[in-house]
Amino acid sequence: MKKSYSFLALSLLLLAFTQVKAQVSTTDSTRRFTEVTTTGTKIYLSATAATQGFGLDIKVAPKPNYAIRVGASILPVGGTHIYSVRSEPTDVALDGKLSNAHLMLDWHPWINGYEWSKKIVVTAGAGYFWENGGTATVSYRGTYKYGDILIPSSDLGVLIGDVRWNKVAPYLGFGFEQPFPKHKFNIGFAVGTYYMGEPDAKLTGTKFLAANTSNSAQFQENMSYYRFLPVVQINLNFQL
Amino acid sequence: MKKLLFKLTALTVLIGFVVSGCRNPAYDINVLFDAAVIQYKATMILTDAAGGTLPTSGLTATITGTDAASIYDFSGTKAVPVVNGVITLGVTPKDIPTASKTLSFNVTITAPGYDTKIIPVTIAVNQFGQIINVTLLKTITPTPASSVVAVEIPTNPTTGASTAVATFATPSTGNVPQQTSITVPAGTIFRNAAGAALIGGAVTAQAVNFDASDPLSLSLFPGGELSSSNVTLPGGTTGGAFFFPAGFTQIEMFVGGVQVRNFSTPITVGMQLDETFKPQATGVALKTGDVLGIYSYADNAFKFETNATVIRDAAGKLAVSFQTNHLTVFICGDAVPTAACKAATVTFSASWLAQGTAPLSVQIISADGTKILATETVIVGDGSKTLFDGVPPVGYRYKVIYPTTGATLAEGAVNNGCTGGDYTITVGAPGGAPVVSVSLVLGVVCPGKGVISVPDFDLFYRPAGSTGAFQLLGTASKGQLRTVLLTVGQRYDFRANWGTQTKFVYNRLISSADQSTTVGDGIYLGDKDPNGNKALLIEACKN
Repeated sequence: MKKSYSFLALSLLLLAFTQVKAQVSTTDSTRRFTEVTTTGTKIYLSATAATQGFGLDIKVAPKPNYAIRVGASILPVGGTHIYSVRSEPTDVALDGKLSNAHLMLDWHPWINGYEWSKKIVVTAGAGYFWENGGTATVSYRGTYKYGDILIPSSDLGVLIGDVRWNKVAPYLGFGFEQPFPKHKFNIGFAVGTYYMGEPDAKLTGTKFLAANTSNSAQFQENMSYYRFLPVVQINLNFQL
Repeated sequence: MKKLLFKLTALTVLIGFVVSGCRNPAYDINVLFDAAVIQYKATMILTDAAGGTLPTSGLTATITGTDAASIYDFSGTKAVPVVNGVITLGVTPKDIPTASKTLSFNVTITAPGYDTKIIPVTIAVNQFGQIINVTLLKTITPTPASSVVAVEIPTNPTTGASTAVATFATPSTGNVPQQTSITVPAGTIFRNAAGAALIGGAVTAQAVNFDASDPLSLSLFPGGELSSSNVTLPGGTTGGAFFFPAGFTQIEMFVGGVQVRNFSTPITVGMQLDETFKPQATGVALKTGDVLGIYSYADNAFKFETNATVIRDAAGKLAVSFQTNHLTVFICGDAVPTAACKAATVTFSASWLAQGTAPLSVQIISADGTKILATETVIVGDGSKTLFDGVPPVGYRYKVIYPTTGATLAEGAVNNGCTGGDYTITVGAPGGAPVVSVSLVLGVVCPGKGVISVPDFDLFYRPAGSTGAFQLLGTASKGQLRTVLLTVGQRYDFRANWGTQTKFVYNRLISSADQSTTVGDGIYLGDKDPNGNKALLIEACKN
């Protein structure tokens, strides 16, 4: 149900932009025709910084209104954080990577529109995630008391949650980028999402927490809601 | 401007729908903690030697010895309660035994009106569970395996010395035909453990003579068994030994409630012996001229005193006579060193038990089959292993008895109990009605925490409506116990201990082979005291 709401919202958003464009085009069609020019194939090298990681893209734009991008991004996720889980102090050590190689098609649908609307780019494509998940290791920070027997956290064991998504994920997004760059260097911005699919999630435990394998099914269900990898990206483009 | 605001709003809604689709990864996950913290366990079941009922309060258990610091009550408390005559001990996880380290400690048990009992316990690697039956003796109460005498010895009020020769003897009874006589010379001064003279009133003297030929006397032997790790042998070395007693007696004296530990003048003890006894040296029935050792026992230690030659006493009975200047228990017989012996690991093969268990009685018998040397309760499962330690360091026989019917399910012989050597005992089915394995499964739902893993606990049972003692049914592991001792269609009373708490379930019908129950607030809290059970559940669930 929530997935269909997301797509519905995206559809409404795209429809809103389409309606605006329709209102503009009937009154300003002459002006649009005069602004379309043929500029030849341009090739860009893009450094990207995004929620999907840091990466490099090669962008080939045979025409101003569309381009093909190939590239890769790496997102290492790690570190140990202190959380309270059900009011118990715990260490959560995250170790994950979402690294992907992607192939994208960028399209400027309103390239003959206003100065700001020509910068709107719709992107569709797919990524191959050769590193597609991670592990969270949860350990209790304190000392467990069994009657008068003190069990330090090192003897208690840890909970290990392992999550792996699909290796191939489609992408849809939009952004703002100059289709007719006047300078060799320009900046672009994009927002979108990969659809990663339902992950394969496992929950295990060690030592005194070994019985938590029985919680794996609930963990799988909880992680099944995490199917999208949102992308908010800044592109630093350098024309070759 | 209006168009820009519309677009920004749509974008926010878009992101909101995506984000709100996420659920907390820990949603509805109740972390399960394995409550089986204690892997190594020993259960001590106390009974009255005379067959009476032990007091319900005032019993204490104190842990001492080398590894006492590693021993806790099974519920994890350092204080070890005695509840319904049951003591459950456990080893803290950080000090479990290893191949090179066996834990040893003593359990001192006191009960109002009973003699203090010190039971040495060892827990070796892979010896995860053991059942120790302990018999408590009321000194002045005769039992089927002991006779008692109690007298007053007059003393000089100034010096505390006996004013005349005092001779007294335990009676010869139908149960215990042998007697022990004690002669205290006149002028004897009675001293405490520090050597100070005890002055003030008469001496209360008690003697208990045990019938060494009666298997019931085994549990009344000092330490509860014939094997000990603390024996000073002839020559002065101290180590393990196995006793073959021809007779043993306990002598206690008190002056004004203070125990007499030694005398200024040796007293004479005449001990009649088991005439069926076969000395290790001869292997034939006891006769005059045989030489047996006299050992004393005090403060959890045995000590060789002297050798004694077997004679015919004035009553024509085979006996020994010796003198001693201290108390309290004296054993006449053979003690064979066991320090160099190894324990055997025995595997039980009992396919008829399937996945279930049953507490069976294992008897260790002399090689000629005439005398029971040890009896132990073992919870047997198909493929289960147990350590046979404390067995005679000579050839012996064994029997496995089904407690419900007394049927012998297995028997065999071992050539030498000292060499160790693992072996398998194939235990046959008890016969009669087909054996049905009944599964008892207990699930517990903690308020706000969901299903929890239940700690292991011992479960006892008896037929419903019976006034007899509860018998051990087995140990529930992770809330589950499969047993063949229950009959489908019958009703039983059950009892379980946890820490200082005891719960009873009366008149429970075993309606089928699968008896699963889940207790929890809003699920089931028992029929007799649901509010009390709820309070217990909440308190227990806090841990």
